[in-house]
Amino acid sequence: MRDLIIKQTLGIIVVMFSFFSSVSHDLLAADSRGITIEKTVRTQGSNINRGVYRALIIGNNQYQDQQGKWQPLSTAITDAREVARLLAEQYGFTDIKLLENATRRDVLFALEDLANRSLKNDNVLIYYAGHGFLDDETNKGFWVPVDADGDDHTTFLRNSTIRDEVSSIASRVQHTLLISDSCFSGSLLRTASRGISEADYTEKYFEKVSNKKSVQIMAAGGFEYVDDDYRESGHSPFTYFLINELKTNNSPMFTVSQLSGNVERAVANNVDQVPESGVLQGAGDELGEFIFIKMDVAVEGVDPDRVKVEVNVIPGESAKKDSVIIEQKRPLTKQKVVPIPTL
Amino acid sequence: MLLKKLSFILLLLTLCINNALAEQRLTFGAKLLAAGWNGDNGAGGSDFESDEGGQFGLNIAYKVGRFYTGLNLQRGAYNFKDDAPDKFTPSGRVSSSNVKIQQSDLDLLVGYYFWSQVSLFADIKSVTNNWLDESYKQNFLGLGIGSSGYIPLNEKWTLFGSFGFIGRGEIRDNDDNKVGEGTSWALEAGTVYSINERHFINAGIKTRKYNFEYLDNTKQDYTINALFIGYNYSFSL
Repeated sequence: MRDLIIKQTLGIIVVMFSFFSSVSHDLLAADSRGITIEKTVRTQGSNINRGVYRALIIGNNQYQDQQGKWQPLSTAITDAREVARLLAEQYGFTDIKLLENATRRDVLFALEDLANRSLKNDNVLIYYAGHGFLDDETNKGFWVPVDADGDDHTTFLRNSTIRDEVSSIASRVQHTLLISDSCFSGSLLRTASRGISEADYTEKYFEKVSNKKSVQIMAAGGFEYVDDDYRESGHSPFTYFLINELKTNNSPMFTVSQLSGNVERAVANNVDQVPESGVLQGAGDELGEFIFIKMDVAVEGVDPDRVKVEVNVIPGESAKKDSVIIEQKRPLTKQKVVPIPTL
Repeated sequence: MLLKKLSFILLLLTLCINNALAEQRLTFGAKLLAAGWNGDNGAGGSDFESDEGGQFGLNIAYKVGRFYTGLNLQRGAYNFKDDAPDKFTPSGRVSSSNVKIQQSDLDLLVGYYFWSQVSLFADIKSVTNNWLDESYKQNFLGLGIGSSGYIPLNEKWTLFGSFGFIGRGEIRDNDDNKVGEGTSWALEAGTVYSINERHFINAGIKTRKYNFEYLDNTKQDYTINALFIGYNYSFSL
């Protein structure tokens, strides 16, 4: 009996090591994709006010609800990772924090941390992909963290709490953008159209809106359920078209109004879901605009290496006048690794 | 029979989790323990305490979602200048002193985070004590259960701890003769510092208590207290 146990134990060890060795090959391949690009951005042209671009990206797949109300999602983490990668590689975001499967505490902690490290001229983007919830009786909306417990609303993140946290960040920085890819996320916003046509996006316009405070929001849906996987793309419909717009944009400067208009049309034309955009209620928006600055603009017939994005940066607390070195860093993933317990 | 079932479940879980959608993480670890071993040889025996001792361990852990499994191997030695743990054979007790005892630990465990920061685990534990130069080995084998958990203090620091016990284990000598039975419990607490998303160092304390009862009804108790430092390399798959 004892020999049998020992043999079985050894067998299990062999199986485990075989399994681990087979997956480690894939791991090494994935690791080699680390981003170490550096680019120089010459600054000359329109006077836009630009600080550091920071982002908090949240993707929740693994819901832990024992009551089964909150089923795991399949695309939220993929969405979050791709958005983080795109912002780092193409839009010069130098401070990106990626939270995967975030608990309520994780989200609040990260929002507080983001507020603490943000400066006056900064541009802060917060992206959330995960379950959302709307209480029909009180009309209150929520984000649902992975540790949400069934119908217990106290384990959710109420819109008013999110609004308070984002307002706290917005009070410190110049531009804030909240992108929420969850059901009922439209309950966070108040619609506020800037009434700008495509022809009005002049350098003067960019200069004007960049110097006014903005606290904008893009929501995957209004008061409706939104889809998880769009045509097996691995992304939700909203984030699929959001990523597509950011990838295909070929303007050095791209406002949230432009982005949201394009995404809303694309989503509404393809799925039964209508994204919304506007400003976050009571967070100090002055009708400014969050402006995405694309670092890699293609010009037909010109070698990509010869194309330089030229934007004149008004000196701020964290920007240099003549040139800005954009260090592309791999987004950090919060991990709690503790030793295995033994007897 | 219970051990056989657990091994089979562990095997199935290890093979099946490959297809799970949850995040998978592999962690390699090394651990250095500075330890002291003291105890009581029971009625008619003497107390004993090691003069110096320690162990070095290597471990591997695989986590997928809330499930994890791991293997821990430790080996080290304890010097006893005076009285040492007595040796027990089917024919009786043999006292021991001025000896070096090599101790080897093997843990094969499986656990599940039933709560976000608290898990329950089962551990097949084997402890082999080898009285060097005296041609005597003793092995204790048992199935234990326990609970572990952690509390993040901030981005960098995390507290962790675990408690578990083995309700019944068998003690056998180097001829594989059963010489007794025993129970054991272990308590561990420490802190982890995250250098970055892949490198982690940890330190803490661990105490293990063994209560053995041999076939001649002699009761032997001993405790191993240790301070440890460790390093983990961890990555997502």
